[in-house]
Amino acid sequence: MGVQVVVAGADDSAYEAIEEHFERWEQVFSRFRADSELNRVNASSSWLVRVSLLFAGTLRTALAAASATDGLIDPTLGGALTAAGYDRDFALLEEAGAPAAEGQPGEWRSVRSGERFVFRPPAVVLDLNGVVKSLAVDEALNLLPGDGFVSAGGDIATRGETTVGLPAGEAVKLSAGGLATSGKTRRRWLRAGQAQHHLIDPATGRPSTSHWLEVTVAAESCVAADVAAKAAFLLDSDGPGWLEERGLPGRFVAPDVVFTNQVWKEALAP
Amino acid sequence: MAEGPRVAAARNRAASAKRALAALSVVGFLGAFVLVRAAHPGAAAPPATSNEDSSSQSQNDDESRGFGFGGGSISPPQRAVPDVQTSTS
Repeated sequence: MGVQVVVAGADDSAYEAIEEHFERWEQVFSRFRADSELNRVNASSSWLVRVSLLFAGTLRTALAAASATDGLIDPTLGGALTAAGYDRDFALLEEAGAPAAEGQPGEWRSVRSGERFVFRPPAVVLDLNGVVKSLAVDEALNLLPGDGFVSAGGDIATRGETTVGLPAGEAVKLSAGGLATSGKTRRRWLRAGQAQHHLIDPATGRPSTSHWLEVTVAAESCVAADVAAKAAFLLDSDGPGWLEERGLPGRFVAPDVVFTNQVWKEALAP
Repeated sequence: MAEGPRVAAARNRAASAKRALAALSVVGFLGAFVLVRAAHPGAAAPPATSNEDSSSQSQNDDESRGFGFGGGSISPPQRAVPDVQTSTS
């Protein structure tokens, strides 16, 4: 997944199991491994593709996230991401003179997942990274023998108290569930001088023009926090209210201000 | 050698059995497909009217709610040095 994984509370066997766990998820969901299951599915010209239980279950979570966010978190934006220029491992991306290609809007409603099958138009390019990393974190937490936490690229799931440093300073205590940050301060690149990033607006198929730099959300699981943070980011000025309606604490970093919604303020009130 | 009536009857029975198997396969596939559609959160729901079964809409809503955002368990930190940092990855 190209991110650092931090684990606390693991004995040797748990540490080994977590290492294998992330390696397996990388092998299944990587956009940049030619032999990943994701690439096998995307390369298929068939509408119906047999997949592993892990792939099918993760796709169902991605579709549930799409449903819960009215399509903001869309697992069919793989083509749009490639069109924006994110077509290889981020470490290998270089500035290009050619402008980004036209992206395709999301089509998550055209996708179905059964227990062992995926049904989708062959032209749809799946990318499950909207939920993969945070879901892998949640499942890795279950491999710990007791209290501890797992963090992958700053997406955190915890059992027991963990103090989490926040973007642009400050910290919070996370007692259970998950906390995640999404934004455009990393994974940025240029196409014809225009900044691109990996958070695609499903309505346009282009990188979002949200004015937030980073959005942090805490929720009952890491994947819920991650999905909510991405949705709030994409909703731009409507993001704080969207979180508020769901009782979720959110913290928004803009170029000149750090803003927290009412739920966040109340949670941190002395 | 000419086929006797018993051989011809056996061939007919075999052909019928093949047709039945093929039909069963199609029914099996369609059955699985319907289940797949019904299980999907984005399955198009029929217009809700008093005379129509609204189970698809209910399932759609149930799965949407079932995502489980919940509330996050955050509170003021008790230590100055964080255990871990969150950031955009």
